[in-house]
Amino acid sequence: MNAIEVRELTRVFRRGKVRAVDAVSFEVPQGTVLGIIGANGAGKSTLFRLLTGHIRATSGTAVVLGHPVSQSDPSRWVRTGYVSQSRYLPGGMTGAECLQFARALRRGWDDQKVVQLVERLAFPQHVRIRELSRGHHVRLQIALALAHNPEVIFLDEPTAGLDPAARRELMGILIDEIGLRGRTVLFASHTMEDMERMADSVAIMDAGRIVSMGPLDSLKKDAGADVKPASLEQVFFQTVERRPE
Amino acid sequence: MIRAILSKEWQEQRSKYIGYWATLNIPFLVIAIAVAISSVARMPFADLSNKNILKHLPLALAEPALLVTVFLLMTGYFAVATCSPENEDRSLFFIFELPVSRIRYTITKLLIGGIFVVAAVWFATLLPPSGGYGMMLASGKVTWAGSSAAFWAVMAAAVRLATWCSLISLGIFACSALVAALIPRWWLAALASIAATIGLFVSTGSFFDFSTDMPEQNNLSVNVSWGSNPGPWVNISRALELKEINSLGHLHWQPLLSAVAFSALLMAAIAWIYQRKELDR
Repeated sequence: MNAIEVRELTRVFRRGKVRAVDAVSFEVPQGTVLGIIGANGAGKSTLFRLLTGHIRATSGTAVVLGHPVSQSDPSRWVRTGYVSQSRYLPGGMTGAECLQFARALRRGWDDQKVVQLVERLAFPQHVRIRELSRGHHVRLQIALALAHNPEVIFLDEPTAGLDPAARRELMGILIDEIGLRGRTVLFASHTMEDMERMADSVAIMDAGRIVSMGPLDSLKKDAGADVKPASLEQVFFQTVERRPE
Repeated sequence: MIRAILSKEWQEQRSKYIGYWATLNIPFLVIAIAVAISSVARMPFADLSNKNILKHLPLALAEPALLVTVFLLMTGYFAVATCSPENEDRSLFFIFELPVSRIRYTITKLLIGGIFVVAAVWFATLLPPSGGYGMMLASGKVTWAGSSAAFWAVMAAAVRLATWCSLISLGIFACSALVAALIPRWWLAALASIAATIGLFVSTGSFFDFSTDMPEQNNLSVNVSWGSNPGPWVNISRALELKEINSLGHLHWQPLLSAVAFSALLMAAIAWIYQRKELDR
């Protein structure tokens, strides 16, 4: 069964001049991790915002856990979690206040889980969010996204802007939290190492379209008709460079 | 949900709520301090009569004149200051990632702000006459038995004026919240709110004018003078008559209900805008 089904999903900006996401279709089976890679401006974040209902599609459909994504249906957030690349947690609250607020409004909040997450993620709880570093901010976002044991998790470049040590540590936590519980994950990153550690399948985005998609091994095999690519990075560059303008 | 949003508002915006409440009461505070520290500022409470109360206590009804003029700008700013930040820093979308209806959240937040404005205006309108009367009683020169009838007449006028002022302020609050929903930069929203408030004041002022039923104020003059002269700061030529007090702020349901409907309509429009709001970057 598919947890996420996307059909011809399109979003245009500036009255049709920019096609940020252009007729994208894919499926993510339940319990698998789909990684999305692409250059800046390829449309990854717009795709995430479409799938989380933060923006409306110009055309096409997205179905998450059997329900069409719609801004007017908040119930989708009971079973999904989202770590955005952007910072928009309420800056005037502390981490503890933010968790408390979310707890009051979120069904399925797992107190025991949050205690474990807070301990593991080790972010300062009593500092105002606007004063948190990028790394601590992401950790709080992760705690908020996982606190209710969501079935589907959207991770939009969660490690962007972190130093290598912090990135490695955070990825370790994410893999533990996600991998152990068989959740469905959509994961975007520029870091091929993260992608190889985490993803079952990979989709390569370029100019709003998915230009290649499949299990990691098969992608490597397909892209290496004339050369033998050793890494996902080489697959990515070969796929994007081969694509006709 | 109401409790969670109240708690969030308190954690993030308490300085604005307290500041707005305090600002509306500054006139009373200044007069109370002046009366407390300066003997020449004190009213000449010479007898125990209703007439003496009717001469001086209606001065406390000057607050509504401020509430529907300069303090309307403050009300508009309060709406922008409490609604704009989560629009500007996009923290609205953190709330929209919780399983809560956007419309329910928006209406709850607006009702919290609107009810606070109404409560603050009622408090600011009723405090001067009740506080002033309390100070008169405390001075020992007037008694409850001799002056309660006049006091109740003034308080009834204050209640009518509070009804007018609170509903007009609610309309300005809703209008400025709509401006804040449409304009993401808070300072631009604040400027637009000032322009909208002045525009509404000029265009609808006569419809909401609650002073039209007052009889001609014959032979009534209020002179204010402070400085080195030894007399009292405020001289009132004569006491108001009860019928003059009773005509103050007479309730007209058409403008009052219009203010409520206008506020409700604007709040519904804001909820619709928030329902369609997109995380654009």
